[in-house]
Amino acid sequence: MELLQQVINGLAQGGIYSLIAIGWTTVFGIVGVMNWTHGEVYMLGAYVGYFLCMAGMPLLPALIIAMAVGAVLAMLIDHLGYRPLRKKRKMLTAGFITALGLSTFLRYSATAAFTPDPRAYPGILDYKMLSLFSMGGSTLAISSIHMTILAATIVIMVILQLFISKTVTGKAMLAAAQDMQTLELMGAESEKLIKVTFAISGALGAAAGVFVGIIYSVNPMMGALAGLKGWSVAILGGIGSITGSLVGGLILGIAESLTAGFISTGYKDAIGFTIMIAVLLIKPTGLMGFRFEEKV
Amino acid sequence: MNAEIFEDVQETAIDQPQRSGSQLKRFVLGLPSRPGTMFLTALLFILAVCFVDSFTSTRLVPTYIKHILVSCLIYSLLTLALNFVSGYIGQTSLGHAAFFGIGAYITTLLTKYTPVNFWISIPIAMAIAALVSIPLAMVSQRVKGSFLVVITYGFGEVLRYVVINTPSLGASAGIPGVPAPLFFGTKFGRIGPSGKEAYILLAFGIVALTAFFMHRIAKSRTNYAFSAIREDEIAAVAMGINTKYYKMAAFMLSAVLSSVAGSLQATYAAFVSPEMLSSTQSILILTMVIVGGARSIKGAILGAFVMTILPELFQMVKDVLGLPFDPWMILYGLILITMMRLRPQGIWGKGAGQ
Amino acid sequence: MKIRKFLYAATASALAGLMLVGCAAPSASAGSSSAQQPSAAQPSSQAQPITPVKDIEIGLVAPMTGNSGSMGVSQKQGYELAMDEINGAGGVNGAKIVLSTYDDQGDPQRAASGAQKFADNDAILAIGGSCNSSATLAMVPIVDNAGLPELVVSSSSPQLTGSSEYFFRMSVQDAAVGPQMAKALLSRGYKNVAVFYVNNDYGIGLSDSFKGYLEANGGTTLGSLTYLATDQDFTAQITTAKGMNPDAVALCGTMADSGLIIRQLKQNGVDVPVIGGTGLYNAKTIEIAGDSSEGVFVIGVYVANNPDPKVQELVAKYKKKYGVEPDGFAALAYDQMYVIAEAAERALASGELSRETFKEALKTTNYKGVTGTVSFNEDNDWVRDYLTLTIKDKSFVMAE
Repeated sequence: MELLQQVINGLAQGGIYSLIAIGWTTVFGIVGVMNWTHGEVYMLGAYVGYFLCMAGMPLLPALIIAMAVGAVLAMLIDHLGYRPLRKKRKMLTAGFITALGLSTFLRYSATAAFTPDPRAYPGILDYKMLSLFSMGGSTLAISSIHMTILAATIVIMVILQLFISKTVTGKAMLAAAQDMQTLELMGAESEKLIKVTFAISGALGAAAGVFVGIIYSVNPMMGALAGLKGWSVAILGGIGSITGSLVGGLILGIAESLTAGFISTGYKDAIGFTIMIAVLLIKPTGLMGFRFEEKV
Repeated sequence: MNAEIFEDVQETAIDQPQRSGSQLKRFVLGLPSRPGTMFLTALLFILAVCFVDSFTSTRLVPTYIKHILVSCLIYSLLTLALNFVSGYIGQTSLGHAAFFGIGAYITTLLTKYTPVNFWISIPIAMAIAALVSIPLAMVSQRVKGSFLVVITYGFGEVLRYVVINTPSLGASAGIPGVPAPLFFGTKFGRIGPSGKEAYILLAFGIVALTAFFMHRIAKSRTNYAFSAIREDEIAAVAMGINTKYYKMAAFMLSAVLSSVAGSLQATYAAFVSPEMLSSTQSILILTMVIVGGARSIKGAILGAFVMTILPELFQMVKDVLGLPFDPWMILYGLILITMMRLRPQGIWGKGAGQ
Repeated sequence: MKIRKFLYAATASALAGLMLVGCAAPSASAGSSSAQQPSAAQPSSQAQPITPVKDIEIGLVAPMTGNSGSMGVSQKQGYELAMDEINGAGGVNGAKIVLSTYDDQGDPQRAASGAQKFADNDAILAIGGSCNSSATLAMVPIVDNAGLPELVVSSSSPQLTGSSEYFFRMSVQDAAVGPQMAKALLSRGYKNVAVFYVNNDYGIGLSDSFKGYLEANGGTTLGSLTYLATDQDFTAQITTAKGMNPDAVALCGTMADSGLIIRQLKQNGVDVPVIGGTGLYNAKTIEIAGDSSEGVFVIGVYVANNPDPKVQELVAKYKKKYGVEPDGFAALAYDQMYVIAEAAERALASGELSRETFKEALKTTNYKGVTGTVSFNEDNDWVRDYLTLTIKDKSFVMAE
């Protein structure tokens, strides 16, 4: 019974990881840069949502505005940080260090602007434990907020999947993930594609930030751990795969939950890294990834 | 052209604009460029800093400056070490704090809980670091680029969690009270006017030795092999270079030298904590290499000094102005961004780093 | 070429050897009395008949930014409030107290740098800080070596007890808070406890002392659940705790994580009394825990709504200056600055004021402050009583 409850907790947590990972995985799949700043977009999205909710705005418009801000922010990051390097074709080391620099810059600017103290969203969502199943006096339960978030994640994934498989831009993005150079020869505007990719990534990151802010709290350092979970999930699911992100996120959530419940809570965060290393060694393409070439 | 002695063996067209750069550097810094002269200058400088106080009644050089100097030298050793991996074979590693930590913890455990003294603990720590680096080196045969970054990062973090969750390793609190090393029966803290001189000389000696060793490598055939692996591994294999062997060697050397830096840091601070293993440290060491310039001995040392001294300077600025936040970290981010835009090869780097 | 290099090396090493030998000798003999203070005023160089009253310079090494930034800021504000009052009333025998701050960001290496910086400056009489035990542990060897008195208002690790004769502790101590928490639970009839502790020196020390007292006095620890200071989701640990059916939950953590745990305990239907250590005495705990904070017990050294007029006076003054109520660190720091001034005055009365005489004066402190009567035992620790507080309508009150 406790095992089942831990699995459910893991699923609830995994939904958030998936949402963080999609934004990460799309950028890495298409642009080939380790976008460290994803965690910072997520953090800033959480703050935008916090300030709007504190000002008395209902959740849905606040979420939409936060997503818009996240999208703009991600495009800005690309425009100022990565684009000049792409032009010089110095993406690998230089892009990676730029990403680190941007992430540090945003994180500590936020600390300067918002103080390092955590803040809590006003209680805007009712938190109820929904009983799923009772047996012999013990009950399996999942919280209504986690349910909402899991549902929202799945809806977002479906929309994204439709966008990619049905629209021209989406198809081009998919092709770009496979082979950007050939696509350019065929006349697609790679810069435009990259902008769209970053916008989607930023919007999803900010949405994840708002959700996490509501359930837990908001602080300037929250992006650090989120970014790492994003990596682990993206690599586990397979870079560039949206379904992979969903599955990977849920697996990581459950793995962490079971580790915390039955092995040692201290190793909860280490399990993600362990899984990540194992996947890269055994099956570098991840669970659902297509063949991925190292972009240089 | 003795000045080019540290330069890469491969002279490519890309190096052209950087020629004026090297003249500019010499003009601006006016530093001697022969390795031997450089070493002597540095040695005299270090000795002056250490012992000028011995002949005067007041403290001319504040102990604080000496304290910072020890940190600079320890980080120099780390940047030189990382250069084998991130410079010569061109693999980015974000897990080097792990080896730094291994050295620190092994030395701490041995000197504090066993009769083994500091000098003997160093080679033991080196051996253990070398052993731990083997799997990582094996991985680097298979995985490259961004994924190697992820793996090394994960490796460092997992190690940190192991330390944090092991009470006998001091868990997250760390282990205080690491004994000071003895030099012919005298405690290091008792040598020289402030007790830091012995550490400075020891660290300087190790850094100088490492630099000399790298200087030899840069002029040897090994460097051709490293360059070939860095530029095009497939071609290197085709040319009959045993890439596996060279990669293994680079990783192990790197790990061993990092562990020496860890041993020094532990005994100097008399304290170890899991923070030494944190990714922040790994990132800092890597950025020092990048800012200074990969594959350059001077660059590595310069990067370590600059990135150790700048935060302290900004600390003063901040304390004077009473800022409610630390401007250094924000600036640190900005430095990395602008550096990659304007001079991706680093201050003292050579040519294109890709 | 090669020969030349060899010559360089040989000359250099010979030089180094000479220098070492030449310098090890005099200092080795001088080293017998460690912590030598070169006297600040050399009679030959500064032969001034009457020196004007010098300022008393105090250093503060504490986290002003970063995750533990709020602790350092509270300490600084408590210091400054007291300094304003002391200096406004004519200072210490006419000498003004001035404060310089070094931000260690909670990082032990930086804390060591800061301690070294102040130790070098002969004008500095004593230092305060740091806040995190790990940072303070890194500083103690340095101040001990330099003979620089150090006082803290937070750093509760038992490892610091008796670590140096120059180290004075006014902070709460894990070894004392843990038993207080256990007492508060046992006296209310809660025996079977699930313990949550943050995986750092603070959490481990506090939970060990708590469990030790609890089990020695008829209670049972059902389980210890650990987490990292950066964690936000505790559902897994709470699910495990829920399965144990505890009478009460003890939290050995800080405000950010404990606030979230309190909230998630209630959300997951663990509706038992919760008790926390001194780190929870902070308005942030209530903000993060929200409505779930009702009825949580906290051990504290002071409470803002304590009817004691001394406390009310401090709260009013502090609020006027900084716009917030003082937390425990601020109140302790306020008292600490008065302790410093009072010891400096006694040192001056007995002759000259130096680090050494100041340290001796501190040892015999007996000062009645806002947070209690301060005195130091043979380990330079302040052993004291604590208050049991509870949260009622989102503010801290004395528990019955």
